[in-house]
Amino acid sequence: MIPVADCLLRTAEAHHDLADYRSELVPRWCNGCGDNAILTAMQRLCRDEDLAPEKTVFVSGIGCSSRLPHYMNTYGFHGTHGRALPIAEGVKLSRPDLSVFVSTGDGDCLSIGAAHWLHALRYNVDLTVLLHDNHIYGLTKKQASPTSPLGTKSNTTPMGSVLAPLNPLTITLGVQTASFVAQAVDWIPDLLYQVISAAYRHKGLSFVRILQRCPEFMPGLFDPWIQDPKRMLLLSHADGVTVGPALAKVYPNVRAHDPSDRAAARAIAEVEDPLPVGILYRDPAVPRYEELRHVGELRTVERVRRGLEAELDRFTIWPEDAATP
Amino acid sequence: MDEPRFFHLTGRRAGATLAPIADRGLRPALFARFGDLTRLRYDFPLVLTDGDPSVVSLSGLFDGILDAIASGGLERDRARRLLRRVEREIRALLAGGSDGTVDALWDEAVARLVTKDGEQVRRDLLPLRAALRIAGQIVDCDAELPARLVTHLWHAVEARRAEAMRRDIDGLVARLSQLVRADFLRSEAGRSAPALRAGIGARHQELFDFDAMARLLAKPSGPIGLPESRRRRIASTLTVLQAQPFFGDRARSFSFRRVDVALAAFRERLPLMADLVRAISVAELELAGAYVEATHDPYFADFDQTALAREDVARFPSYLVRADADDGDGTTRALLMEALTGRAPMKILLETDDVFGLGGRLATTALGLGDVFVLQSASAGLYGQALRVRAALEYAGPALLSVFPGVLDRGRLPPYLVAAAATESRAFPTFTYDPSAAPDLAHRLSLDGDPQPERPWPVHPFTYADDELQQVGERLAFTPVDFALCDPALASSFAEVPRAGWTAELVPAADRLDGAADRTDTVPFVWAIDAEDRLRRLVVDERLLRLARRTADAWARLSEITEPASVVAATQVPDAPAVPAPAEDRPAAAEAPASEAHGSDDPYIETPRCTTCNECTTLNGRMFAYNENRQAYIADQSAGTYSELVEAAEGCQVAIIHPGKPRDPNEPGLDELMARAEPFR
Repeated sequence: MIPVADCLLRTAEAHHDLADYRSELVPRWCNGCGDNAILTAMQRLCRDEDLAPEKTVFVSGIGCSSRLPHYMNTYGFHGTHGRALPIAEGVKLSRPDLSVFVSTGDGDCLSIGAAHWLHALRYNVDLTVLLHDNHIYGLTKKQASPTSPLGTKSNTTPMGSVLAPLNPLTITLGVQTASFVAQAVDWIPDLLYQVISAAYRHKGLSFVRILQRCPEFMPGLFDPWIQDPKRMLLLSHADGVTVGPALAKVYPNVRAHDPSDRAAARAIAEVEDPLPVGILYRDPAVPRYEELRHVGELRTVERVRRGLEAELDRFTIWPEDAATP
Repeated sequence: MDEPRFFHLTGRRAGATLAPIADRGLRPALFARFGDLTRLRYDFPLVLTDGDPSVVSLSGLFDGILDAIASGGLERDRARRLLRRVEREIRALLAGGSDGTVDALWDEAVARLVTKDGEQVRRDLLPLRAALRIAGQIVDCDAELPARLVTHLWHAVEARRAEAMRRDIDGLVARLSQLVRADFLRSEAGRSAPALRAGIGARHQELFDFDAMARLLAKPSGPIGLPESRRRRIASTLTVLQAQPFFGDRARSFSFRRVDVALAAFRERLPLMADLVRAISVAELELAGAYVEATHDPYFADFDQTALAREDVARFPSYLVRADADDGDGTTRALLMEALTGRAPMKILLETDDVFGLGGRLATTALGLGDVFVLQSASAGLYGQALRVRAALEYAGPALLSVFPGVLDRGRLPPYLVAAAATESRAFPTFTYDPSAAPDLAHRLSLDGDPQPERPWPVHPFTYADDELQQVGERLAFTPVDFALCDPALASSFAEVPRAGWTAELVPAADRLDGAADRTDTVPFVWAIDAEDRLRRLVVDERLLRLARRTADAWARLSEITEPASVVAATQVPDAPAVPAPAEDRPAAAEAPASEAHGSDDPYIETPRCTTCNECTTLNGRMFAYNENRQAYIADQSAGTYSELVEAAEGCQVAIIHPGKPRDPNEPGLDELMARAEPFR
């Protein structure tokens, strides 16, 4: 609040290493799983932003992706299937001083949690949402998810899936109050880190779809893009993610894209090959729910008690023989 | 020497040919179109609201009503005519000295219309009245307008600032109180049976054995109680936070009529400001668990008003001072420098009628102070500058708002017209200087609000009827000399030339000011009109012409400052979207590929591209390891075989492991391994 305090806080606070954000549990994801890269990117972000572990919360639903809070040495909430977003919104609204992240998967978010997804975009609470999209239900040993490619053979679609996959980006951009939409892939860790970093700094709900390898149940799904870097389309802009020379050397297909251009973002979101990665859309002016509903009075214990008592008093029935208070 | 020339050179009338103009009600010719302001629609009057925006024009408000209730066609036309009539009546009421809120003046205006046209007007206006959703005081462009408008905006800005600070301070108090409360609960007294009983509530007390509970809690886990020094520190911090006199109900006044009184108040309050800043800092450190007595005690022991940074001061309320630049002994002007160069966030509203004198030059003088927000505007332009006024009030440092209210000649001419004429003629141009807007002077200074800024002064078409009642058209410049005609104090600088004396030697004053007319053979004049709108020619003395030249020079200097910016803006081509070319000066998003740092014989990993998938580290956790970013590198090549290197390269899904050449030429199956390693070279 006051600069002198900031200055002194900096002198007193401890600097965190990446290991400070690693829990004692060893990740149980498969070798080669893209979730590992997402976990590492998150730990790097926490370290680089010096987030106090006790002021950081990871909320998840159900699925491989949703194991992530267990591996972070921060507060975590492994929620119920599809309900990571409303839980995270509740945490953020009650404790706006916390940094709240959501780990959710393509099944968790886009299927059973789809209603919460859309309304979370509408509310635009200040959350960083990571959609781990491996195109399959992995934890339950391979069932088709909403993003499974057409023809995916799985336990629920043994003859191959017949429904076209959802495109989470176009749907998100279709919600008028979406304020931050990005796409990253687990196999370009530097870009993944930059995107997540920008998402964290965005005030409002930042929705980051991360295409993630599942070597066990969808082996080779992303190989065409991994093995041919020219099929990756890196979105670069001074107001988005900038592509440095080293990255551009590996991934030469770079395109300037202004993240404030919603129409261009929608057009890019529909492209699947080359695969666009970077910040598609950002509008910091979209109002956040916590701003709109702010009543200007702290929710202290006294205020809550006052309100409860006032509410209960409305229904108090005095015994007829009791003296008038 | 003829009389006009003599008057021009000396300012005295030598004969009976020229007529004095004092008390004759002569006006600049271009005022002919503005005879009755109540019949015109313009920015004023204004409505000062409690909402956002804080100020709206009455015309804008009525247009909003029209848009809200009538989409088009006859209904809209009828509503528009009704609203125009109410608007005109309100303007007439204000011109007659009425004052009040929108609601009250609407009702008063409708009552006047009913008197003229009967009750049906009231009924017709009912739906329009219902659509009037904005409440607030109506203010016209009069002598009090600058103070009322600026004070209103200042209150809005300060209310928001105070609300934010009060919320922060209340939050700190609440959280510190929780610390104190938690400390009590863990104390012996907090764990006693009476305290436990008090914590349950009356209704169910009989269900509990509080003595048993107290015995159970006799030995709480962990340390008991805050250290005494911390408890005392929190208590004294809470006292300061709860008693602070800057925000909330107990806040002191920050509005003053004298600069010296405001400065004295600021100095007197500095120790209290330092106390509050210290208390907030200590509170934040305590709540973060970051207060280290060895570090912070000495620092805060010496913390006093000298330690307050500008950012600290900017969090406190600013001091609004309404000052008169034309006070008799010049005290205000003398104190102004002290107020604007100190660290107090003074917001000085300086009103001046002396456009051609010292009062009119104070704002341009203040430009040299560097970090003072300066806004100059006649009152007629204040509505257009409302956002900038607000910016000045929100600015972290001192601000000077220099305003010409336009009240000359005891209000014979409407103040709006006089104030607008001051801006139009460049005698009192509108400008803002915002030190926070840009690093360079040209972009900090803005001349927005001045008409035809590319010219020395604006030029307007002017038509009149000649002796044969034929229409004659010409273009008239509106110069500081024309504006001077509004000021009775300068009436002696004009003399009317009778029609017979309108010779070729009379030239428009604008031609003399810009050098188009020869100085030796000509006498400058301006067009004026009398009460019947008849045209008059007035010759001007050299003294007034000098004053006008000085204001023209001041305008030219302002234009010179902003010109580079406008030239740049005009010639800039919008940036075409382009792929940012990888260049040396761009920040690198990733390290250079490791291959550049290795010979082809050495094994290596493109570490920045590692996705932490654990394939290689699972294969051989001593040969492959993770760095501080959890990305793999070859930690010890000798800790494994070439076979493992090749296997890791094949297993790496992003193909960033390069096995190089084998170190041990005796390793079995080398030929096959090297063939497998070839794709990864």
